[in-house]
Amino acid sequence: MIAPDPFRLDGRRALITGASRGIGRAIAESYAQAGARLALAARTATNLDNIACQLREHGAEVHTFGADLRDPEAPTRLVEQAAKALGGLDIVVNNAGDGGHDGLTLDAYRRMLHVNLRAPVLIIQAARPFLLESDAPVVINVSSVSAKLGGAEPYGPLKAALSSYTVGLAREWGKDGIRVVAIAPGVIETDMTAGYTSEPWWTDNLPERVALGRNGRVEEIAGVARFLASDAAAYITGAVIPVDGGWVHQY
Amino acid sequence: MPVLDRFRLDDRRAFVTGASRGIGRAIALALAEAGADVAVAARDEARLNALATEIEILGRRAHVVPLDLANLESIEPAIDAAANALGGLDLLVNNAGVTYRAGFGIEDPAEFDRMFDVNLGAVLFASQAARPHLAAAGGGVIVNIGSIAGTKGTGLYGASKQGVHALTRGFSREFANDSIRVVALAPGQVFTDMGARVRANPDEMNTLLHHTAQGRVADPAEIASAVVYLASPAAAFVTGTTIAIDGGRDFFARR
Repeated sequence: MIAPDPFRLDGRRALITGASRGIGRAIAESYAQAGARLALAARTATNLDNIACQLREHGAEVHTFGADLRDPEAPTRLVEQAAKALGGLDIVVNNAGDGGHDGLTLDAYRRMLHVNLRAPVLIIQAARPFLLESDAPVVINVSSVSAKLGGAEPYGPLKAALSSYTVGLAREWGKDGIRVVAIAPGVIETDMTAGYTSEPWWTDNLPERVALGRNGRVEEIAGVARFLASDAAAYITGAVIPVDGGWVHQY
Repeated sequence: MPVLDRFRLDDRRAFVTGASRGIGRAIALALAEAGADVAVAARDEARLNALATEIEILGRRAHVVPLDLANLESIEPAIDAAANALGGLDLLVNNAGVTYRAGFGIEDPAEFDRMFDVNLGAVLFASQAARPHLAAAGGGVIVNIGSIAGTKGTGLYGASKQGVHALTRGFSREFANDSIRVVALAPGQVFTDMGARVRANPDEMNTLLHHTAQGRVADPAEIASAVVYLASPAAAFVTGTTIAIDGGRDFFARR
């Protein structure tokens, strides 16, 4: 007799934002592979057609939703639609984010405040009644190594805010059995980072910045996201897990 | 130079946000006492006028800046005008902050926006606006008032303050070329109007004191003296960091 595999997500109902590409898409694939039922969101629903088709071909249940997370009404609406389609929610992955490498402008600040922080909070808030009904509820926020590095642009500070929020909410919701965790990816090769991940100023310095001396791949975030969503991580909450190849430089 | 002279701020020109009350008011007076001229910014012009008189009694110049820090567009013109009035700028203290009623949630998106705009957005844009003035003065200092609430993780207020700690680190790198230091303080509970709600709640207060090694709240002057240090040449090699001034906030503080 062998106990059920605690890394499986069979039947778990997961909402993943920013799922059309990059890290979000990889998380969707890994959850589908683990047996989860999926509600995927992106700004434009048709951008999810490709990933939805691919996952359905492998037998996964996938619902897709368009949600512009800059709109203050959109996050709550998305959660309600997703919970209705799946008959509840067990896993919420706040992955959607605006990388905004356009400097410190009022527009960039406001957009990032809304997409990178307000939307996750609204989604978490709307998901609470569904998570309370779940047998294995978990919220996973995708933060960033930038939360520690900071920045003179809004991105890093807002990721730091999301990490701080994650820790506090884990304490607040622990008594309800809801786990709240964050992943802090380092530099992962995606569309968001494509502007610099193969540029010499970045690659030449990789060995001194990152212990493993290379950029990360989206699957390397997705694996951790799958672990954190599963029963294998049942005693992990309030943790911000660095998945960054080791930003352990001496200087 | 004798060590205590290195803590002086003679003839420095400072801009302090949220100066009408509490920590900001204490900071403005401490800076003046240490020798600085001070532009004091806040919404409450009557209180600022009274503070300006106190600064002048200390023998320094004061410049009153009626300013709502939630109005992010108005920050740069206000800093430019203050620099003009004081003949330059050597020090920016981003102190203005507001509490947040809804804890971990969002009841009103406009309330959320306003809190983040004052606590985080205003620090970003004031720092950006002050940079050319500090650079023109041959270098300068930005002191941000964060919070131990950010380090510990306590809802959206704490989240906004953790954002301040992160931007302190980022700006310290970006501004170093202009000889500008950027530092933050993370106060624990301070005896101010802003903390009145917590002090009025015996349960919350007991828990707080239980988790503070010194078992008391701070006087605003205890934050202000750290600002004087960080702003002064005595702290010339300090940048990018956040210093906790919290009486020893610790989960196992008192048993």
